[in-house]
Amino acid sequence: MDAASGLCLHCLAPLEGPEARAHGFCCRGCERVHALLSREGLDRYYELRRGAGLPVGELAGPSLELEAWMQAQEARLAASAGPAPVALDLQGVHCAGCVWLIDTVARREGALRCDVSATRGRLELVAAPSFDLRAFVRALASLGYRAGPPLKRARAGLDGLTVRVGVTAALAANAMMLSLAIYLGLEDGPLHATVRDVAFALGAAAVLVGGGPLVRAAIEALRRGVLSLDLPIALGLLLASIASVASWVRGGDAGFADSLAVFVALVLGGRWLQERMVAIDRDRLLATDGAEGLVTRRVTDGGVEMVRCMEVRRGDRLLLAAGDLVPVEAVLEDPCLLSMDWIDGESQPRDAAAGTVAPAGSFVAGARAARAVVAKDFVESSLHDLLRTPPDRRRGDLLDRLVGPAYVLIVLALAGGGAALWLALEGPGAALSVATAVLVVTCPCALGLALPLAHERTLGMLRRAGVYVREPSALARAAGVDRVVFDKTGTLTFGAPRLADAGPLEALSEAERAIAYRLAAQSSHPKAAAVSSALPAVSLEGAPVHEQPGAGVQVRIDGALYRLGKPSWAAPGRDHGAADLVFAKDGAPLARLETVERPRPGAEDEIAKLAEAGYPSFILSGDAPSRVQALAARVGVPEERAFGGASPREKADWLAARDPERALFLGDGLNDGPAADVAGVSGTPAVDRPFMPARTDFYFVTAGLGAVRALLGAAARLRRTTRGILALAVVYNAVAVTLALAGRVEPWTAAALMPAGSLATLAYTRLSLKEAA
Amino acid sequence: MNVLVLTLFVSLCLAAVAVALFVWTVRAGTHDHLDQLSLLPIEEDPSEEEP
Repeated sequence: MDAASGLCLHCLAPLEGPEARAHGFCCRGCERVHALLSREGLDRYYELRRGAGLPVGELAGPSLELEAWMQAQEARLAASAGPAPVALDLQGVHCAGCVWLIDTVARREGALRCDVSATRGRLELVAAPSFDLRAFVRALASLGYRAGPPLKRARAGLDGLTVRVGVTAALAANAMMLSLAIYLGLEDGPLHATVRDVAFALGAAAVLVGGGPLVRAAIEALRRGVLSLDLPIALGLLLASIASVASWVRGGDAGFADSLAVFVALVLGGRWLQERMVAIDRDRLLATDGAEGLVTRRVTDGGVEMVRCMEVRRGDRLLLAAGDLVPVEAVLEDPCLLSMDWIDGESQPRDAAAGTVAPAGSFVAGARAARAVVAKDFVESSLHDLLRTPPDRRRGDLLDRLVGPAYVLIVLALAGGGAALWLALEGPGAALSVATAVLVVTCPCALGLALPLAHERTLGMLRRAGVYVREPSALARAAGVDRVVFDKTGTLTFGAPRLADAGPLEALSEAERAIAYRLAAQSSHPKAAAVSSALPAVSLEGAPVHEQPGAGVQVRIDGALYRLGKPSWAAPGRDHGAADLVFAKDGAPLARLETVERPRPGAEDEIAKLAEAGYPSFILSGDAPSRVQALAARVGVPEERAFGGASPREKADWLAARDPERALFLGDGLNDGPAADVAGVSGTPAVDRPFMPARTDFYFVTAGLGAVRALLGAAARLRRTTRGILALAVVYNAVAVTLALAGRVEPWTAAALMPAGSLATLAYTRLSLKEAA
Repeated sequence: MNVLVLTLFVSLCLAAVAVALFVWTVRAGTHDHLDQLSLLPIEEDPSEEEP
């Protein structure tokens, strides 16, 4: 594989933009991990992976939450008398290659045992007291795997469903196998009676094991006042069970028991498939317990302690290190550089002087730590509100969203009408039989299995495109979307700025470029990172570099003072035009530089394609309106559809006032949470912190924005397939219901009709989506 | 005839064993570690590492 193929050399994602195509990697993370794997002799990962991987994105170090958890674990491990277990949540694990890689690294670091679950994103180690957990987590981070404390909930419900599906399927298959003997001619006699009784017992056991969740779902839907597809399924189940027991007690055959067991197994299998796929997508990211899990550094008389933010009170003193979150409004005792990206979408970090209030939800963007005195209790902080457990986003079941209550009504009406007619004509026995036949042979079975299968295949296609759906009904809702609303910073753009033109740096002499690199590389300001990434790397040894908070960095070499920073500080008293960064020698500018936000690769192209497909794009941002308009012009969003300066609440209100159910909202920061809760469908590219993915319907890991079109396209295809399945069901039912209403459906006919209808529907589903794949 | 009943009984026993094993594997979390289990054939034999 090489870059000429247009795919990333590490993850095989399509390369978007000329820069990526020139490097051969979709992102910096992939490039670094690829180099590391080659250097460490871990190339076997590529052989074992078989197929595309996941883009690494920006590599990030462990979070403060992990740090707090790790300290406790390290202490526990060191105090243990012998090998002890350690559990971690993982993000970024997706295949056997990842499992092998992590296992190999764990063994190299000295772990005695390492169990990795790719589907759960969990890691369980057994290690000796001397094991360096911190080094291991750091090694995982360098390979693109993010570790976190073990917060993922056990999938007890899903595991229970797995057992039920397996047991029900086994019982149903055995019941059907025995019943076949009777259908194929086993007549009266002791063997007939034995086979009949055993088939009935197996069928009844299958219904008892598998029917519970279906009946419970119907009761829950009724309690919510929803006319759910579960209702005819549960009614059919109950009536057929009664008919089967009555038939068996009377000494007749096993009635519907065998077909009923297959019916339950198929419907339950479909439900399991649906639940499992979204559970896997959810577990691919680290879990969050919202405000409960946040920790911070509190200054005490004896030093610094890690405490849960919930315990932070007014008057406490905090130590805010580089990259730390400011959990609550606090008065700074030292100057520092703060990023407001999370709370208002502001793309440029701000200098905060000592004595000013650092808002809750801001991050320390500079390298210097700062002390701050907490101004209010954490529970009163605005961050606490933003992190509140999001409202239940399960807006209806997938099947109900796809099928609608009209279908359920028709099925119930047909069953009721048929029963009434046969009650008048032949009495209660025939009426029960007809109603049961209608409910069993109608398409709930086909729909109950075919629609989850279609959903699963669609999720699989999306996963291969780097899009992960977390909510079961998200695709059904996405089919109703008619516009896309983007947040700006971190969503339409990467958070970090880059140079609009690197020409002034290229015009420098080699020695000046080396000095500029040394200055830029030793500053923590995001603008300096834009400069260092545009210059060739050199050694950082030499005269000490000093950072002037709020101004820039400087170094004295051979008596000359070199500065990189604000134009008015680096080269005062001169006109620098649009430049916002200047590299100067003794006050004389050597290079005037302008930084711009970097749109995601191919953003303009994607927005144009979305418009072609009938989805106009909007920008809704908390950043300054001028910057929002500038970006809108760059990516092709009309001026009247780009809005800046909006607070988190204003964003949500803007969406709520404009038919929110038809809007797909894409955001990355906590400030986007309220808008994500209001929008019909919400997504995020921000997978580095779990708060935002936890309250959105989907997330994506690709560098570009193709995920949005992929999701909308998949939703439209799923809707088309659903309509096809419904059309097939109507044809099938026209035949089956007519036979049932005519009283012509014997148990064996139902046993043949039902799988035949299901198989035809499944074949159609597979063909319909195969074309799309 | 008796042979058929016996066969039926044995097949049901086998099915019961299969179901029991399935339940055990789900509870043991085997289904969550399928990727790791698939790597067992290529795992190096620890005895070969001994000098």
